Amino acid sequence: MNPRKSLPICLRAWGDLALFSRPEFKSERVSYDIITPSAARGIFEAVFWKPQIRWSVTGIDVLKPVRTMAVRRNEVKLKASTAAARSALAGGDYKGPVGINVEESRTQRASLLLRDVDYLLHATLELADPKLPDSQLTKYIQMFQRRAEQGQCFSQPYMGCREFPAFFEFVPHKEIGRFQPLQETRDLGFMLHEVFDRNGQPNPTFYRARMENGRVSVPAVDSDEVLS
Amino acid sequence: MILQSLIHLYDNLVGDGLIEDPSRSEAEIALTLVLGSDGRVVGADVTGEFHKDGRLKGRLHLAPKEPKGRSGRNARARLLCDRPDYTLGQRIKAAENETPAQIEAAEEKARNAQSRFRAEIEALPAHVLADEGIQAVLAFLSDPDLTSFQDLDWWKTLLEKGGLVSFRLDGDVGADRRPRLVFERPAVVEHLRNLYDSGDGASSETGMCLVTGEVGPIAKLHSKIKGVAGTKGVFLVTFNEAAFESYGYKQGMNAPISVQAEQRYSAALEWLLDNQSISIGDMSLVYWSDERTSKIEEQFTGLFGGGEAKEEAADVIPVRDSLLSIITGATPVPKDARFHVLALQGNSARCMVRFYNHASLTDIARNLLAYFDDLSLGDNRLLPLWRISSAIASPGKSAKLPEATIAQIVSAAFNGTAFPAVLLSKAVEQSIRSIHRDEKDRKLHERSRLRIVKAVINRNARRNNKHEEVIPVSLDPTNTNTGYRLGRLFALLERVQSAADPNVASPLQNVFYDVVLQRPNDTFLKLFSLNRHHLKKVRSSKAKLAYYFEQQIGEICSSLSDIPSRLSLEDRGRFLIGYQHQKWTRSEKMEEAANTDIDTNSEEAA
Repeated sequence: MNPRKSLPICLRAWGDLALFSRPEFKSERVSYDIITPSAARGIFEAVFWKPQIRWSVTGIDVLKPVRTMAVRRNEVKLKASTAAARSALAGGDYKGPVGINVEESRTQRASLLLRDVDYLLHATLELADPKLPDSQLTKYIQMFQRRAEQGQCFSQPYMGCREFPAFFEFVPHKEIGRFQPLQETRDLGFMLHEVFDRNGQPNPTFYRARMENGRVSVPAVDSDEVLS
Repeated sequence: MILQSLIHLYDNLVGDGLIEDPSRSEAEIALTLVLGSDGRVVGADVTGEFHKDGRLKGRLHLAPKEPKGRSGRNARARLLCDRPDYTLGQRIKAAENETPAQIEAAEEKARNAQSRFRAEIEALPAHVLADEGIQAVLAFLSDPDLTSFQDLDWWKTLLEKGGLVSFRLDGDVGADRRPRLVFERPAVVEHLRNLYDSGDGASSETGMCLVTGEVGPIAKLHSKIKGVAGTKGVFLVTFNEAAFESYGYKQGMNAPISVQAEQRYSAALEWLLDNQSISIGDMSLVYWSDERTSKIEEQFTGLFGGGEAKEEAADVIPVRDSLLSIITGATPVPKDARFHVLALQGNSARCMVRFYNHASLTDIARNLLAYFDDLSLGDNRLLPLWRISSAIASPGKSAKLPEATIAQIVSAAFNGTAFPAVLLSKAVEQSIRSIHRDEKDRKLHERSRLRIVKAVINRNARRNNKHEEVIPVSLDPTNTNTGYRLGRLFALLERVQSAADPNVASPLQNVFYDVVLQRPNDTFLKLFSLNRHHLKKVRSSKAKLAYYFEQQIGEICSSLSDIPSRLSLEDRGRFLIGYQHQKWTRSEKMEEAANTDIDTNSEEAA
């Protein structure tokens, strides 16, 4: 057992709506069937994170059946220019447009959302800073547990997109058995594993996701899942 | 999942020999120039027919595909067949009142296009370039002589409205002895096939495909999908606006999919849109199963009847039987065979996924069977979607349900989920209103409305596990639901009235139909008092019949403790059904009683 890495910690997360967009269907959004490990990690980090620690998702249990819902929303098609914003900030000379004129760049985009989602997320907490002594691990685990039990978070955790809030609850080990995952076994195809690599650079990776009786096991970052 | 399943389907289709040649696509060639081997124009093939919008009608051929991402000043030309500006250097779509400068600019553009067309041909590998047909085309392009065509009508139409132009070598015939175009010559066909197999070289970067997991060249642009209802061609995977790109990736690199995977899924999807799709308004629904052993796919379009009023629905018995055989296992189906349904809709050059569902074939079969049984009234006929649409739409307004509703109905059929609630309320509403419309409307739609009402109520009852509330298919004298019984009562009272006064000017239904659903207790009071008079009249000539009626009424009322002051929406639906059930059932006993009375009367008279 690695003294710098915890055993899997369990957090239950649920929400009314969720959208874990598939990369290939990013313009007219289609969600993955279940939460991505990347989004799951995001939920843990929203509850508790420090630069000294690192979360790694190890498993996802799906508690409710997969249901979808289609919506259409008005959105903008342009990206605001950071260069223009910087120039405007810098001097008084810049007279060009800053920001986006919504009227001129409106477009309608559809989203195929997930409805009524409920997951048990399992992740390990690991000490990322090599200078820290092993004893700090317990401290961080306890900090997380306390915050999760009290409902504390740095920012509202969300299900893939900020507009879909996620609610959470800490699940101690002995209570995991209370929850019954979906009795479904199927192959979910290649799924996004992580967007960012260890250095924080965007470098999407994928893995072959399989749901067995509602449980999906997520490989570790450096394991055999394939690179893009 | 979607792309992965489509690729799996592609492999099946190729295995079954259903996809022949994905390296080419169908094109309508409006004009074929016949060339001598030195490039001289010796003739022209035109069909002489026109489309409705005035364009020249051409012949369909399997042609080289249109290059992807064709837009902008330096767009690639299509190989060996393209618009008149590319092939002939002639400007098209001349407007009136153009300044000389504009004319000059347009002609320059056309010349530029032609040189790109030529460049595309010159980029062919040497052994293809050496082909006689290609040489003739190149010779033609060096010195095109089109003067003999300038005055012809079809020439002017072509330049005005567009159309594809291609070439044929004079005297060249294919294996079937019919004339063949230059791009149908074996050298070109083989070249196209090789190009396709090697991935079409349109991309530069290599990476891991997120659909198949294989490493290979990544598709920079994906193919346009033709055949989605209401569109001329849309992209399923595209990042055509700045806001859709992430992390600085451009176009296809935002979602790395290998060229082979892209070709396979788009070929499969186009095949589906051609062969296994239902179009409902602006939406196209395609369906397929992982294993092609079951014949369910072939029957699907008939099951829902499409969106057009002209298609008559298939008879439901063979479909029902085949569904049953899948459920019972008579037709062997691999255990994890899955059935997929994908609904697509165009949205400004992009393709939206409205819904995508997949379930095991047995589950789907079970759900579809439930759909038909829910909508059935005992006969074995289908209720196509367009009929549902027109049955519940207000007349005068265009009888089209919003796509969201249709999507929900189809989704309910496949997944066993609830029907959209609007169906029930609209069906009841239209049924009430139709009393005041002409007979034709009722004849056409009343039965459909009842089927819809029954389907919605029964499905809701099943989902809430209240099985005793399920409405029967035909008259059920033991059903004690208040709405149902009141409907029967109403029909019975009407029958009494028509027995008393066969030529009644204002039958009960005309006067009271809408009121009785809004205020049952008050209305029935009035109806009962009227009924006393009717019965009196009947008794005077046919005593036995009157007695029979009284018995029937008594029987229905016996289980009615109280006539409520309001009826819920569902109970109104049951009222309507009870009413129709009672009306349609010609009771044998009643006939008998009537006959006996007639005999009595005639005896007395005699």
